[in-house]
Parts: sequence; structure tokens; C-alpha cells
Amino acid sequence: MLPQAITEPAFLVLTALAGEPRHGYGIVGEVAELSQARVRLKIGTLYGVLNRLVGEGLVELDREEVQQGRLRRYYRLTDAGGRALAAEATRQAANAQAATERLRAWRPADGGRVA
Amino acid sequence: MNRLEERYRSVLRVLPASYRREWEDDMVAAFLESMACDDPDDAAYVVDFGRPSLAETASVIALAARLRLGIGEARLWSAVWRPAIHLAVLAALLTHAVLGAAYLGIGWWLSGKISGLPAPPSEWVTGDSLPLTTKVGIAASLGWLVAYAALVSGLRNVARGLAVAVTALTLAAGTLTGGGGSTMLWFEFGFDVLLVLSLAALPAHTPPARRLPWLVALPTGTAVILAISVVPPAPDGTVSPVDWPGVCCVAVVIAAAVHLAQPAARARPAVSLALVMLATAVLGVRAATLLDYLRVPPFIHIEGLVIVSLVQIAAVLAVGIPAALLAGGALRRPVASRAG
Repeated sequence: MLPQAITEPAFLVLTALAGEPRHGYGIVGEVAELSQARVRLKIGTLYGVLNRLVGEGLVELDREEVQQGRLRRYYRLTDAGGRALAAEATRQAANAQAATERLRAWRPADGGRVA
Repeated sequence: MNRLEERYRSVLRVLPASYRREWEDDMVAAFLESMACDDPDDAAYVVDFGRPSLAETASVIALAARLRLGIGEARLWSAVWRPAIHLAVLAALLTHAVLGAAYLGIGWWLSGKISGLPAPPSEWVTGDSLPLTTKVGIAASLGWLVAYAALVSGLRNVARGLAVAVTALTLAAGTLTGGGGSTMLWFEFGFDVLLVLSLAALPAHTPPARRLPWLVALPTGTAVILAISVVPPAPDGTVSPVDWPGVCCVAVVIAAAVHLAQPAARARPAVSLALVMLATAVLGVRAATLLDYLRVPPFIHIEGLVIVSLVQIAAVLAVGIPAALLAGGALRRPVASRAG
């Protein structure tokens, strides 16, 4: 069964995990860096996304560590998650390429140039 | 367990127990890391006095709603729930904006500065020195008008910020001026808190609404409210059976009836769901104001108002229940057959 359409938060979480396994707060920080501070995930939002991604088999538990008396869980991308991320990245790149090509030929009504 | 952790765990109690068994400790650990400070004094202060932010609380509540209501599918959220919340929030802000515009219009009329209109009854005329409640009313009215215009224009953050400010101001002024015993004050506070949380559930880049219908609705609604507000009371003190909660009930009944009469109603679950939310809100407003009317001594001969109110409640239920059945059926159908 194909996973549901990947939302932007889910896409960024998968991308954050593509580099290395991370714990919850580590994912928040990496997503902020990947999006150049545009996307700041709240913990409630992050764990809703993680719950769904784990349920769909795109992410799994990597290991658990005890840090300052608290259990810290690290998550990693699964093979299926890597393929889903690659497919979504290809799709978005194709859309961006199509838009860029069309914009080269387009001029605004006021005659201004598109950057 | 420190106070900050206690507070966050109490917020997490809105989540289903099965979900909390699996994720709560992880969420708490991540939250506490997000609140960590380098400075030891700041860290100690946060641990004792810090609390989850409104945005964090809203994200947990939104997650709980998705999990408890079976809104686990991203498409369901984006195709049904989010547009329904957007529609309901626009209608709620429209109500506030209409009442605010009417308030400002009546105030201006009572000041005697509008020429060409009949003079107001002498007992209604206010002096040059405005009481605190009037000043707060003016500020709140302007705030709601700008918040409404902001959301219609797609400026969700502006609308949310103004909603928070006006809600806090109205509650503070209401309790300071002795209105704390009013059922309607507390209902309105709860309603406005829900409005703020709903605004938080919308994405920051919420698209603008179709401006023309929503902008036409503002002067139209204001004219209706002004028309019922400037009617002087009967000489024997009988209360008019027409009031603003009644107008809201009628508006919801008409909107729902028009929607339900359309063959395509089943294919628009977001509208059905929005109407259910609005029907619930107007039922609450109607009940709260009726309770206040029954409790406040100056209101006499309210039999007509009570009868009309009960008819309004019955009418809202008569359209709200079918809308709820339509919306519920759509939420349980497979994603492919839903069309926002």
C-alpha cells in the first residue's frame, strides 16, 4: 500500500533522518536548519508526524540511550522511507523545473523581469 | 518531576491513553530539551515557572483531535477538517466584526455627532466622559474588525494576534467591572479561546478567502444588528424577542437549510462540518444569553423572548443534526470518495 501524500513537515523529518539517526529534539533542530528557520516544528506536531511515519514503515527506532536520567530515543530512516523520500524529492524537483522553465518565458503585466 | 514537566504532562493528558503509553516520555524529553537554557539562573526559573507555549499546547490539542476523531489521514485533514475550521473561524470572526461595527455605529449615534439621523432617546445618550466598559468595547470592536479583515486577506498570524489581545482585554475588563457573574461573559471567553486555538490550527500561509461575499456580509450583518438595536424598549418594559443571538441562530439555520437543500451537499463535507461547528456555537450563545436574561432582575415580561429562543434552538437542531450526519458519514468514507 502506497503511503499517503507526504506533507512538508513529514518531508523535512525524513530529510533530517536521511543524514543520520536523530532523537526528537535533534529532528526539530535539523528541520529548522534545513528550512533556514522557516519551519519550526512544535513537539506535538513532530510526534504526530513521527507516529504516522513509523506506522507507515518509513521510520523506525534506531536505539535508546539514557541521558541525564531520561530515556532518549533515536529514530532512523528505513529502506522504504529512503525510497519514499527519493520519489518525493524527484517529484518536487520535476515540478520546480517545470515552473522555472515556464517562468523564463513569462513576463509580469507591468513588464518587470522575473528574477 | 519538576513543575515544567508536570505542566507539560498535564497538557499531554488530552492525548489517547494508548498513544501516551508509546510516545509520552519521548515527547516530554524533547519538550524539556527545547526549553533548556545555558544560563543556570534562567534554567532554574524556567523549571519552576515555565509552561508550554500557546502554540505548543495548540499543537498537542490538534494532535489529540486528529487521533481521537480518527483524523489520521493527511488528506482528510487538508480536504475536510482544515477548510471546515477555516470557514467556521471566518464566520465566527464575521460575527464579532458585525457586532463590533454595530457597537461603534450605535456609539457614534449616541454621541449626537451624526447629522441627518433621528435623535436617540434621551435616556440612552452618554456624556462626554466614557466609562471603562465603553472604551474597552470600542477597542475590542476595532480589534475584531481588523482581525476579520486580516483573515479574509489571508493574514492568519495578524488575525490570531489580535484575537488573543481582544479576548484577554474583554475578559479582564468584564471581571474588573463586576461582570464576572454573567454566564455570557464566561461563555464568550471560552468561545474566544476556542477561536484562538482554531486560528492556531490553520497554517500560517492560509490562503485569502473569496473577498466579495465575506466583505458584503459585514455591512449586511451590521445593518441587521443596527436595525434591531435601535428599537426603543416597550413602555411596559417588555423585552424584544429579537436579539443578536437570535439573529445568529437565524443566519445559521438559513445557511444550513440552503446547503442541505443542494444535491451536492454530500460532496461538500467541509461545509457540513463547518455548519455543525457553527450550530454548536450558536446553541451555546443562545442558551447562555437566555440564562442571563432569566437571572438579571431588570428584564421583565420575557415570556415572548423565551418562547422565541426555544423555537430558535429547535430550528438550529433541526438543521444541525442532518448536517452532523452528513459530515460524520463523509468522515467515515474512504478518502477517494471525499471532495472537500
